[in-house]
Amino acid sequence: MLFTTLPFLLFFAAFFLLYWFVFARTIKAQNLLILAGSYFFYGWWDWHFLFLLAGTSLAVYFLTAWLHRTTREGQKDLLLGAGLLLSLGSLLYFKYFHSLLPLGLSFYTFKMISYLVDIRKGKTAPAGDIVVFCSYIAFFPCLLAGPIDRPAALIPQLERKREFRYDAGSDGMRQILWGLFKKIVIADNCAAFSSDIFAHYATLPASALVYGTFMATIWVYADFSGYSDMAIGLSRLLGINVTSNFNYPFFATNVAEFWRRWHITLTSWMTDYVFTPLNIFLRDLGKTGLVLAILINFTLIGLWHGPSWTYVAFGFLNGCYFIPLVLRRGRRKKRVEGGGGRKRMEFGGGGERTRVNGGGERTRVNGGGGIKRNRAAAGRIGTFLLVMASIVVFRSGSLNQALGFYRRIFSSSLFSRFSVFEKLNTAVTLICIAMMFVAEWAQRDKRHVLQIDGIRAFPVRALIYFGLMGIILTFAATKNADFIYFRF
Amino acid sequence: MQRGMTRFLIKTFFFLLPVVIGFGILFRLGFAPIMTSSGFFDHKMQWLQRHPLKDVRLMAAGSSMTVYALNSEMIVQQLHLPYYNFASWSMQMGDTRVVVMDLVRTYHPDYLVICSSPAEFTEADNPTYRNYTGTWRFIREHFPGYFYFSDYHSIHQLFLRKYHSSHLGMDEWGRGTALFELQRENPHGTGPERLDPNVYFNEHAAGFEHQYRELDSLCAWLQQEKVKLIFVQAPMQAFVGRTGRPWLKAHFDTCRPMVEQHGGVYLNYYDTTLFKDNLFVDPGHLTADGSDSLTKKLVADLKTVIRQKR
Repeated sequence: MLFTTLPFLLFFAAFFLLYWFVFARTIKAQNLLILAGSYFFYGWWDWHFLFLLAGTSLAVYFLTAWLHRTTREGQKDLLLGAGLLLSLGSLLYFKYFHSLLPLGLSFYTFKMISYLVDIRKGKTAPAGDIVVFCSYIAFFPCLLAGPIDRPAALIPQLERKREFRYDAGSDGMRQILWGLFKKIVIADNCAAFSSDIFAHYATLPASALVYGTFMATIWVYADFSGYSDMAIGLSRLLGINVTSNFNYPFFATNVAEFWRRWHITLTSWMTDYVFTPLNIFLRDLGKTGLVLAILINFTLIGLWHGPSWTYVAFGFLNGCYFIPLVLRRGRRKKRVEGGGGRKRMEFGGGGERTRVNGGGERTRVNGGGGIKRNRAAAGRIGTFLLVMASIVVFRSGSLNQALGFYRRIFSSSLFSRFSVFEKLNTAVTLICIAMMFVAEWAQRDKRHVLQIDGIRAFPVRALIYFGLMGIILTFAATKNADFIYFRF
Repeated sequence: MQRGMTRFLIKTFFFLLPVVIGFGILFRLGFAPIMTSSGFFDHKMQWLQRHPLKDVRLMAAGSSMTVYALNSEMIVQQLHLPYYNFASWSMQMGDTRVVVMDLVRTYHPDYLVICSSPAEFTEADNPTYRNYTGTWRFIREHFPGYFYFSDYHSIHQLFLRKYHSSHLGMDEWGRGTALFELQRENPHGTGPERLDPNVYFNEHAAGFEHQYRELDSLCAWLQQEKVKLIFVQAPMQAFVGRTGRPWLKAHFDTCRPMVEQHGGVYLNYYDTTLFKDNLFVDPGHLTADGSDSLTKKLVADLKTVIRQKR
């Protein structure tokens, strides 16, 4: 039941009406419906793995309840260890030693781990009851590919009464529309083009490989961010706000900023539960320790995608991109300290940044100055090229294929002409990609592109919605492909 | 009532309404919904909606070999049985199985002819046939517009299907063979489909175990339904036998027992002396003259089968 299919539309329409009209009297009833709906949604794919989801959820719930009650530190650690062993064990077993991977396993396991660790650290209170906890783990809009919401963000929302608000509902619908556009017009079309080029890379000129890599990069972004937009929009229709997963990553001016904007919930999860403890553990090694922590963190991010050397290399390569930033930070820090001032340093400062206020609204903070703007533009292009280079490894079937792909790219055929198949589709896809970039740039201080409340005239807004709908209905890809991140 | 819910529902309704109306207009204008990835199959199914068959006792089904190779007129005139050719291009044996199961449940024929080649055992199934046959018959017959939205196809693809798909003429007798007419008009020309010998007729061909299991399962099911299967091994050009004798023999030896142990009739027409190379459009597809020769032979064999059954 993909978000983009008729069965899901019918399922969600029925769920929405039941949620707001039949089960809205008590929070418990609404949560029970969320749980039942989520398990139905999951069971639609494969009911066998429903037992794994329900079983591990129950086990983690009771372990953490015990952990919270007990006052003995040793017992707390033991229970935490047991919980981690159970959740990580099932993840490792299915991901690396089993032929079938239960959908969404990596995502809901990370939710369980953060719940266990946060309760142990006293960062969050345990869920009020088992239904709330299981609904948090299995919340269907985010079950299969995130966002990976932390317990402190989602559980309190499940514990209070939800009310339908017109503004939130219509905003959710707009975000779903934009996600749909990215997924079935851009991502699915790009998938077809890039798959063809990656499959025949050995016989194609370098220019075609660059084009294929560009298409693959856009594919991964549009597919995953499109899914996230739809998940967030669906949640908003149910009166629940989930964490944003993308913040216009292609406008990042360096790789560090890119990773703060790309798959945000995974990156921040890894930062909190892997990188920070590692960094503290290795702090005596100074800058070497920091580089090591980054490399391990990113290699694990790569490995999270699956048991393949290409994913390991993808993570490691992205970790390597950080090394110049770490070294440059050291030099800058010295300069700043030499000047006598105190300044908070971040990897890769500069460029244009957005600041998020308490209400979730973003405001733009301009770096200012023509030179800075040019530097930021160069940074954006450079970052995009680095991301494209890492996508080659991500997209390749093996390391050998990736190396062969790189070798062919750096050849004399880089400037040769190549013919594209399905010329009309290609042109439409390229125009839609350009549209996406322009719209994202114009709306980069908004939570999502279709947040167009500023446009007061209803006909203009209607024109935008119907125009987008028209493009979706007319140019959706032939093959409605699965979301890429379902396989992780 | 939740705050603003009525307004939200009304706005959503008015947002979706033009979409439904738009597809209604497309339907009226003849942009039929795409039900499977085969334009020919969809066309046949739509034709059957408009011209329901009263009785089908002899049914033909399968891939392009069945489309090309059977002369409907000869079959109807010589066997005097209500006949229809349901075959469509590019079907694998698994696709044929799901389609046949659906058709047999609808028409309850006595005999089923499948004219097959190794090319039907080389690829994975096409899921669109399963989606189509898995849809409730009531929806298929009364709400074909459902297919605009299930397994969504864009308006662009509806236009391509209407204006750029191959010529779909059907003969008057069994209304099964679009290409048959094309070939009569241009016997030496090419149909929309040509088999690439390097893909379908080499040692890797016919190696798809799944498709053999599908054939086995189809034969067992037909026996249970008391439908007599006549499985015809279609002729091929001589070079196929020369270049791939061992795998071709293995293919024959796999199919024959599957058909025969479930009460079916296995007819091997791979005979290069009878079906000479000039009777083929490509390595596997017959010309109009070739199909006349094959049908003549098949009709003679079918008469025996029918006599024995009676």
